[in-house]
Amino acid sequence: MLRIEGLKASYGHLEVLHGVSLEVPGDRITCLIGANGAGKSTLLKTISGLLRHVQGGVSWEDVPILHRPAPWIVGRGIVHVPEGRRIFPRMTVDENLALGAFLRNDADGIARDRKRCFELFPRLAERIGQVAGTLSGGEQQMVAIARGLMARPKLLLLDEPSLGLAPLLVTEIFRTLEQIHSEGVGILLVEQNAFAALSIAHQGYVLETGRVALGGQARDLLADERVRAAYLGG
Amino acid sequence: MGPGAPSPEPVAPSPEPVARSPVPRVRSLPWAWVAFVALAACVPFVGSSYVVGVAIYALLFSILALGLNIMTGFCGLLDLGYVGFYGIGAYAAAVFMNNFDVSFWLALPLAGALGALSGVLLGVPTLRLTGDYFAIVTFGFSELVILVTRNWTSVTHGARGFPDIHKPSLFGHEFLRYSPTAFFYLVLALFALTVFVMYRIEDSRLGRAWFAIREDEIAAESCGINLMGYKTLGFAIAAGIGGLGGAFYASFSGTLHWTAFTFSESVLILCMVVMGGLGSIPGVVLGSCLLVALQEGLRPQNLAFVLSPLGVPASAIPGELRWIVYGALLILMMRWRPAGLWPQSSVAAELSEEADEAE
Repeated sequence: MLRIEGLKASYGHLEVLHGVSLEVPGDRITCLIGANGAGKSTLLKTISGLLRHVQGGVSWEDVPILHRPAPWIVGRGIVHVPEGRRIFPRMTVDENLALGAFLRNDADGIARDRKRCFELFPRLAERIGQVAGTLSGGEQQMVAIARGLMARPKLLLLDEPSLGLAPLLVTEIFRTLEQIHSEGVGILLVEQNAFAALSIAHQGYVLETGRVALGGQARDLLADERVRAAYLGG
Repeated sequence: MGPGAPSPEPVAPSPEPVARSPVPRVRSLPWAWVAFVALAACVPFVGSSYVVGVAIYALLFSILALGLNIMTGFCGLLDLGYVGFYGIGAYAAAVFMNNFDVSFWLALPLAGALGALSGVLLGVPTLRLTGDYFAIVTFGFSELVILVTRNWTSVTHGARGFPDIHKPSLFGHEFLRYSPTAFFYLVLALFALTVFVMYRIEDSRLGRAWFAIREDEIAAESCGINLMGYKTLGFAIAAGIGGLGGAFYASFSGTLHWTAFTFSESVLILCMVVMGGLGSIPGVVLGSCLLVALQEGLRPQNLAFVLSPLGVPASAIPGELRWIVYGALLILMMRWRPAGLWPQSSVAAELSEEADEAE
């Protein structure tokens, strides 16, 4: 369980999160929806230790993780797949995956996870030695997710995996996320594509200008009048 | 790709992924390097002491360029003041040998360690900076080193220059400067060691971390790579190599003067790295040898040797022609071979990809 209490985060003097509290169970898919600038990506960066100007409480499996360095947090099983498919463009697909396992030294486990990644994303298996910067947008997103899985996460933080992808591809990626979850990985999914996200999530939160406006079961949120009006196009 | 309907995927792709990336990548070329070093080892038998002297500079600058390549080629950090570490190593070795009567063989690693230490001291507060800001700080650092060497007269002998630096000696025989064969084999050994270490690093966990940082810092951090730690380590190793080079230079040249450590030397070393191929070990060595050869060839007296018989008066030969030629070369390179003369494979792949898209 990831517990966040009264979390504040700022860029310079600009406070972006004004006391966010929420809970993310480690065995569920939780989605976080909200408009541009609501602070969704900032929240993920805070959890994964990429952001330093933060106060409040964040704990994972009852251990406080705020202000810990990013590599330490990866080592505890929280892995962030950042927004905008930040792959290593000049490395091959395989080298990208190998870097995902940077902190591990169990060669057998790494080999197993690598094989599993290519089963989850068969397209990547076809492009195993291709330089990642030459892949299509969808394939790059797959590389980013697979690289995250190579760190053997207990909780995967995904920032806008559907961004800029064709609808068919979004469906494909979301299906894979459900499959990843069914193998015991918790997922915290940040999405602007609220309908797709709520469809696969168990529970969700709505973030508005740095505060949690609403939270609950995904199916209740899908039915909620306010959510429908603001995020699901009526 | 098709959702809903059964996937029309024609054949299941290889279920057992190939063990290693199937794309052939140019890895270390051990035999080519052994041959190169063996050939270089013959230079003192066939060349005059002038030629041996030029070869010494080619190897010395190769070592320096390989050091800078760690920062600029491997980590992707533009360092405009690399010569600062070279200067620190040179003056440190001179002070150790002359003032404290330390032997060259101890002064050499001490100068390397001091270079590495200054790299850490400079790196810790500045490596959070990115891109241009970092480049400016490194530039300021090398200017600072010059100011100190010019003004700390009691230690560095200031603008008069550090005189009569001790020579190394081995088994009771002192190295000779007018017949620099011993110095040549010393720098060749240092060069071979540097190349060996570079290949070991390139193919290690450390090298992979640096390449990841070069590609994308945020992605690297989210893979669990400690950005500050690995960058500082890179800076320290690069600076340590600069310090070693400086110690060799101090002992070989016998005198030190601040004009050997100016900004233009940093730019020259950077040109060697960029021209040869950022990140490419053979490329960087090629770039260094080419630029040192060019520098010698374009000396007015050497030009006069060729041009006088053709009727060109010596007074018509410009004294600093080499900078014009370097500038022109860099422009031509950026147009025709932007990844360098002998690029690192991944860099070349991306640049040719971009060129294809542009056309």
